Amino acid sequence: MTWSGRAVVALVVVLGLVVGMAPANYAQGRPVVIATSGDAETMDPMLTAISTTGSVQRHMLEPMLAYDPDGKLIPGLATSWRIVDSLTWEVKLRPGVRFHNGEPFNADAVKFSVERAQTHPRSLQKVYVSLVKEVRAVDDLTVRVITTEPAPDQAANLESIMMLPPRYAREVGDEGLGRRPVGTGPYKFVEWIRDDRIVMELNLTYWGPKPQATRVTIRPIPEGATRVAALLAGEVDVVEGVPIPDIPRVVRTKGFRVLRKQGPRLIFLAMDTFRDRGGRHPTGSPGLTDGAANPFKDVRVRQALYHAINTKEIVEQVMGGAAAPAEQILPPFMFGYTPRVRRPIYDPSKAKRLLTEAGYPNGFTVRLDVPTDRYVNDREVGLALVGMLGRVGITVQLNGMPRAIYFPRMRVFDTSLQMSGWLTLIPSINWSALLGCVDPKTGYGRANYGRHCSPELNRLIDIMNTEMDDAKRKDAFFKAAELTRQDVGKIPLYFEELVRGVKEGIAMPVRVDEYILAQEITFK
Amino acid sequence: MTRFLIGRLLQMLGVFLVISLVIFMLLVFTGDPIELLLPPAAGIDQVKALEVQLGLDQPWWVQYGRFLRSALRGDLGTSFYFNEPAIRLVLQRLPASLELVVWTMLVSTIIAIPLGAMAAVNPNSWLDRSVLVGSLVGISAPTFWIGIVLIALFVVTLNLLPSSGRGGWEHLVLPVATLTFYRVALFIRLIRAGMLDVLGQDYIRTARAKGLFERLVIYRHALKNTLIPFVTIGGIQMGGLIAFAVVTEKIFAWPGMGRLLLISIERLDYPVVVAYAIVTAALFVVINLTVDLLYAFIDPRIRYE
Repeated sequence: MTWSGRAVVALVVVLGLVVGMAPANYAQGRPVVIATSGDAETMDPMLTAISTTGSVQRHMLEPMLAYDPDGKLIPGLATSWRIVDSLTWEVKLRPGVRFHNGEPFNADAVKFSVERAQTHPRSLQKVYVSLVKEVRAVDDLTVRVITTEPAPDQAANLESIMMLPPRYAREVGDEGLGRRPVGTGPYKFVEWIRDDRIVMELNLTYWGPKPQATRVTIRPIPEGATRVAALLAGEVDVVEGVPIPDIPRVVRTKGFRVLRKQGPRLIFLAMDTFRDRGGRHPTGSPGLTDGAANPFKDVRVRQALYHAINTKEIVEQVMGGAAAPAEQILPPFMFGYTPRVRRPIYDPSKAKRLLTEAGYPNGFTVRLDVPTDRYVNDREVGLALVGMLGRVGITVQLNGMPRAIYFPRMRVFDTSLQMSGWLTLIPSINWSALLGCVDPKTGYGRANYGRHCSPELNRLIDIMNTEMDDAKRKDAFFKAAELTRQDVGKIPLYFEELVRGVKEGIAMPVRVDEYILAQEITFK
Repeated sequence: MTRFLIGRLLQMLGVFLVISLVIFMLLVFTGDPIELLLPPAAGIDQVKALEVQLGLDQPWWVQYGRFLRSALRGDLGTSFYFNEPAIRLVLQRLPASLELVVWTMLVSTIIAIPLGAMAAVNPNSWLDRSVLVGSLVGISAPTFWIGIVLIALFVVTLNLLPSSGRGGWEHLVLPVATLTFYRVALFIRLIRAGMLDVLGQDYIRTARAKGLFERLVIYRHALKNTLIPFVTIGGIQMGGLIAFAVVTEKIFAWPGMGRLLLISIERLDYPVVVAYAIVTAALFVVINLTVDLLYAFIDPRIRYE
């Protein structure tokens, strides 16, 4: 046999070994193309907090603790975690895991990654580790996370911190981390053509179950109608966010399915309960009649609004069924949801009675501020609210704004009545942001644009954020939900549904964190 | 000629200064990206911290001053979202936009010149009338609508072409067709009107009286003299397309500059929008200069001293 002949034989043997080593389901696997609404901004996990970007990164990078599709914390690169004392979490790391470049995953990598999230000057993930005083390596595979104050959500916060290989990060710097990600995930980076596609291939040495999708292409297609066309033409296998008018069409077309699930994004109404009179912002409440007393200070008026809104009709008529009426601030699958609290029944005559009792038999005039490009059908929902409140005598002027203008104005409380949405998978943060009294010291009230402040509720929110005992914590959540149902600090409207279009024969869970992960796709 | 060019360059610097100032003020007074950038988990205390981190806590003139100072060193700022130099993000997408535009201009010109000329030579013929009606439709039909109809027809129903993205020639067909509609309509009307004007001139009568072939009269003598307005409008169209083919790039997920502009405005990514405006201004300066030089080439009576 010639030298080159031997080389060929050797090559065949090696290839055979590689194929043989591949897991059994590799053979039935195939490539998959996912169409998303937007491209990733960067591959650097610490410099972004946008979910379409996180979705891409989570194919290649992994956190210590991850969410399952229903938002329950499950082991990722950590095998277990426990509370040692009120200021210490102990995390056991998965042994034998290596980054795509061969670097070992260990306590050093954890320390490096957490500290980078804390200290990088452009980090947008500081909040997740702001209470962390120190990451202490007990041994190579055990770390202790020491916090400055009791932090019951610290474990959940670690879900956002992706683990990076320290040596690689130092070698390539920010520039490299932003363009060529190296992690421990089930897929390895292949190429990224900005605004066109991101390609990843299977990581054959992945520590977890081997995915069936062998090669992943993510294509950002910003226009919803085009995404659906790409699906129906067979170009892509999965699409994010099927526009509501297109849902029936995808359902009707043979060979395609729509997957839907109630998401955690709450859409709610908030009323200014802070200022006493209508007038020019900032001293007066800008959406009310100049000089008139602020009706929203009266709890009966807030209850009247609650009764006047037919959420079921909004969900069915405006949202095309792609939403679920909200009973309370939290969705049913989240820690702290209580089945005892239901939303009040739709009852316009009761709303009128309450308004009369409060001294507004003929209603009043108010401006409703809504964003027009932030949530699904946000402007249309605003229009529906105008009609519903009009039926009980409240004259509403709709004021729609693009999100870039809307949120800065909300942030300085330039509103009397406004609609917005909220989404995190950490229940105590939802409460502190929506109904904590606005206060830079506690950090509460980030989305409390009506500045509603109930000292009793604020005390319960303090417990949610500091109590390490789950039973006591749960009690605070239940009490807060009951209190808010009576006090109406916010009017929860509905939870948006997450809608995905897929080819027949493709199965995947719809995740409440909005990510689309190719590693969860299975073929029938 | 050299003095003419130097004058133009100085003008360009002035244009950059004015444009960057206007765009900067427009953005700062519109709003800010804090709410879109900061994760929902962040508390109200972190809003201020992010403002400081991005320099947005300063009054606008301080922010603009900082921008100018680093601009003098060739740094137009870093995108809030991409964490990359804004100018690089814009230039990265220039080739894709150019590809779309060059093809659009080529196809539009090849269709429009002969049709416009023929329509003018035979006024009120069936060709002339259908060109007039057809171009009216082309000018009035909205780009978004044309794009969606083309996708419904050629992608979903006939399954002949890809819906979106950039790749081989087949990816170019639909976006170029969408952009071509309006340009063909515009150029046809331009050429037709110009030709009608020129064909009545004395030198055409002289050419015909000399006994020149009709084809030579039309395509050599008449058409050449209608090219000046065509080159002017064509130049403006070209610049506009490179920078602002926003709707078409979004519909067909074309990775060009327009899409970057759209998302950067929506999310108030100040540095990218300002860098974009400067690149666009430079583009127009170059195109206008080229158009001016073409004038001299087309019409030897025009000279720059």
